[in-house]
This record gives sequence, structure tokens and C-alpha cells, in this order.
Amino acid sequence: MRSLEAQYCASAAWFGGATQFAQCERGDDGMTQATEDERRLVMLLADRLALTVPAAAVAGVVANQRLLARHHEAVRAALTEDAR
Amino acid sequence: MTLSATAIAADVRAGCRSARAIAVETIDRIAAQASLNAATRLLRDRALADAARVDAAVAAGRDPGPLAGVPFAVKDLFDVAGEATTAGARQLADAPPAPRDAEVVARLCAAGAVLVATTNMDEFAYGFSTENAHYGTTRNPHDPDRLAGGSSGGSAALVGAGLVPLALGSDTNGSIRVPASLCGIYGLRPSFGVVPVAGTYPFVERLDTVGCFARSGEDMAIAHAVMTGAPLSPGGSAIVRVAPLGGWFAERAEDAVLTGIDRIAAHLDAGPPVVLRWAAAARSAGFMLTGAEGGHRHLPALRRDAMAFDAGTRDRLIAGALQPVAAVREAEAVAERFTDELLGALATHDLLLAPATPMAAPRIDATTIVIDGQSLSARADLGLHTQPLSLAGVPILSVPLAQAAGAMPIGVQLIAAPGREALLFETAAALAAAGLVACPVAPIAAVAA
Repeated sequence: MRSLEAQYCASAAWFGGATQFAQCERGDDGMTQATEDERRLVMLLADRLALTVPAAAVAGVVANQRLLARHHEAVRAALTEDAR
Repeated sequence: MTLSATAIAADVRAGCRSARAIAVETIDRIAAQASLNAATRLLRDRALADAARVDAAVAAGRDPGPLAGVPFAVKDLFDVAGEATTAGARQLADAPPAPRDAEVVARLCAAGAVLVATTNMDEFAYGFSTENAHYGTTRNPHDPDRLAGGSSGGSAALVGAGLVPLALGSDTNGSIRVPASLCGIYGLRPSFGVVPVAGTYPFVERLDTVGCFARSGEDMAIAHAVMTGAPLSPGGSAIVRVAPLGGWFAERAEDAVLTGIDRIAAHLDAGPPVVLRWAAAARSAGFMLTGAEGGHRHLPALRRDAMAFDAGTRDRLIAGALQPVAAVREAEAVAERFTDELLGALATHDLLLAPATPMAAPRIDATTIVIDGQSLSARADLGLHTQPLSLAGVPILSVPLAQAAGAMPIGVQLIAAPGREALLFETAAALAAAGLVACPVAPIAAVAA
């Protein structure tokens, strides 16, 4: 099985994040480590779907959630602007 | 071997060449280029049986079909009778074999085409690069250190390498258009719903289409007519209303593609750029909707064994499924607004132009590309200009820009109103005749010829 770092950075590569886990830790390109709150949120949301997120996947899921959140911001901003 | 499906079919129909000889030669050439990692399975027995039927028809004086003897390949998400449909996933490698061919595969074979291989893809079609944790990375036929694009990269690479003249792929957010651009060939995302998807592994049903790759507009048109089961209706009156898409589609793109669009626009007497104000938000909406539907589709398998997935795919699917419903609804609202806006533009224009990819094929070891001072993902952002357009269900043909020898290929999207594929093919032919679009010969093809 790939190491946690390798799996995390497989996700990071998807959206151009840092390739090295150490860089991720330093926060390059926004790829900071998942906070404890983010981890708990993933587990809580997944539990509602009867899904257990493997420990090895949490960091990558958080990274993708952040990306989706940015996309949602763009969607919401466009709808808000249109409503004015 | 000639690279044209049309020429191959003419030779076989005339009895000048046997379908069997072409099939054997094709499979041998693909096998010799295994380093491309484009084909996942070579279907030698199947190809020989199909070819024998074609040759028998020719010998008996029966019509062998418009694609007689034409070798073709299909992405690993198309059902092939007797083979497991893996959709690029190791967990499906031992699935029961498909009882029958996918509908479009059956139609091509009924037209005399000979299926020779299945091709590599991103797992479950969730990617733009054809980097598969289980089956490896497909390499660009023009530079093996670069990506072929995805998720239909295997099919694109085989056509780009000149190993087959036709191959099938699927396009949800750009998975035909992106690899077509990076591999220097034509790739069609057809109007939503006109090409049957029966017998293909789904991804995002509201966006999924299946289409083909080819090395000429003529080959593309014939294949498309066979796949839809209907003759092409003429493109209509001479093109008079053309415009490049501005705004989002004129940003974050290399000079090569923007200059190419300018040349095409000038040749077609295009009007001023059309700016779609919902484009940026539409891209985001597409991203969210894909994650949501894809994630929920794979929930049962994720519950069973999340670690059986490619790590990158797994994490995207899980995150997608965890999105709040309210957020997804907002994405749907944006998708609707963008669709209305694009269809409105196509009511006043016959053809719109946009980059197929922001850049030529990135190096496999690169995670980012800098364009105009902005850092773009060398993976997710390959679909920057294709993803929003996917929402509207319109037909889009990626055509390869004619460039100096040695330059990495890059493509342009020709966009038309639903049902106007014939216009796209006619435009592509006109641009080819004018020397503005052309399929470059890959080094592999040059060596193997």
C-alpha cells in the first residue's frame, strides 16, 4: 500500500498542490495539513452516509473538500451577483 | 499502412487488401509499441474472427459495410462481449464478462469495422490525464515524457500514434476533447443523447457522452453516422456567423492556442468575441456536480472497500459525495443559467471557438504549469475550457491546430448547436483544406510506417 504521504500527494497533484509532503506541511499552495476539525467533519459527514473513511484517505478527502469549497464559493458568488 | 479509415475501407471493399492482414498488422504494431501503455488488451482472436467475416462478405460479393476492415479500439468502459468491463479499475478486473458488445461497438462492427484492442483510462473516467494506479500511465505519442490526456487517453494515444485510424472514448467533462488536443487528433463530444451509451460504464449520467477519435474530419463523419445509426444531415447554409469565445475562454491559455483561434476566426470571417458571463461559475458547477454524482454512484463500492480504488480517484469521489445537498442545488442552478446563456449564443451564431486545453501536453513529472503568471494544475486544469461547455449538451469537435514540425499538438473546440455535428465536420474539412488544422505525424508513426 502506498504511504500516507504518497496517497496525500496523489490527491494534491490533482489540483496542482505541492508534491512533497513536507511542502504540504509548510502550507505551500494552500496544502496545509488537515486540521483536527476538518478530520472530524469528514468522519461525521461520512458516517451519515454509512461510509467509513480509511485513515489513509482522510487527508486527501480534506484536500478535495477544500477545493470543492472554493468552487462552491464561486458558484454562490455568481448566484448572489445575479440576484442583485 | 495508411492511416485513413476511409482509404482502408475502400481498399478492403475493392478486394485490394484483406481485413485479416490489416488486423494482424495493426495488432502487431500496437504490441510493438507497448511502451505507450495505451492498449490494455489486444483482442487478437476477436479481431481475426471479425476480419474473417468481412473478408468472406467481400469474397461473396456482399456489401461488407462502410467501415470494412477498419481496425478500431475502445476505451475500457465499453462492454466487449466475453471481456470484463474494467472502467480502469482493478476491482472490476474479475467482473463477469460482458454478455454482448456495447451498442456503438456493435454498430461499428456491423459496419465492417474490426475491434482490435481495449484502451487505458483514468479509473472510472475521473481524470484528465490517464494516469492509472493499476494499469499505469499512458504516454503521449509525440513525447513519451508527457501526458496523453484523459480520461480517454489510451484511445487518443493509439490514434495519435497512427496505430489505429479510429478509437472510441467517452466525454463527461472533456475526456475526449482533452486527449484529442494533447495527442494532435480530432475528438468529438456529440450532442447529448444522440449516440447510444447502452453498454458503457457510467460516470455522471447528466453529462456522459460517447464519441470517437479520428485523424480526419471525413473519417470522423463516417464513424459518427454509423454510431448514431442515421445518415448525417447536411450542415446547412454556408457558415456566416462565427465568433471566438472571450472572457474565461480567452484567459489562462498558451499563446499557441489563442493564436490558432485567431487564425481560424480570421479565416471564417468571425465576428467579435462572445463573452459568457456564467462560464467561470459553470466550470465550478461542473466540478461540483461531477463530484456529487460520481461520488454517490460509487458509494456502495466505497463502503465495501475504499482502499481498492486508486487513491486520487477515491478521495475525489468521497469528497464529492460529502457535499451538502444545498450546495449541489446551487451548482445545478448555475448549470442551468450557463446552458441558457450558451444556447442563446448559439441561436445567434453558427459556430463558437474555444481552446480545447489551456496548454500542450504537460510533462508527466510536472504538477503545475504557469501560464500568464498563473499557476495551473497540470491535471484538473486541463479541463478548464471543456468542463463548462459540457453542461449544455452541445456537440463539440476538438480539432488539431496545424503547427511547425516538432511542436507539441494543441487543439481548438468547434462548438455548435445541438444536432449540428455535420456543420462541425464540414468546418473541420474546410479548415484542413486551408492548412489551419492538421494531425501531426507522431515519431512512433513515422518509425512504424
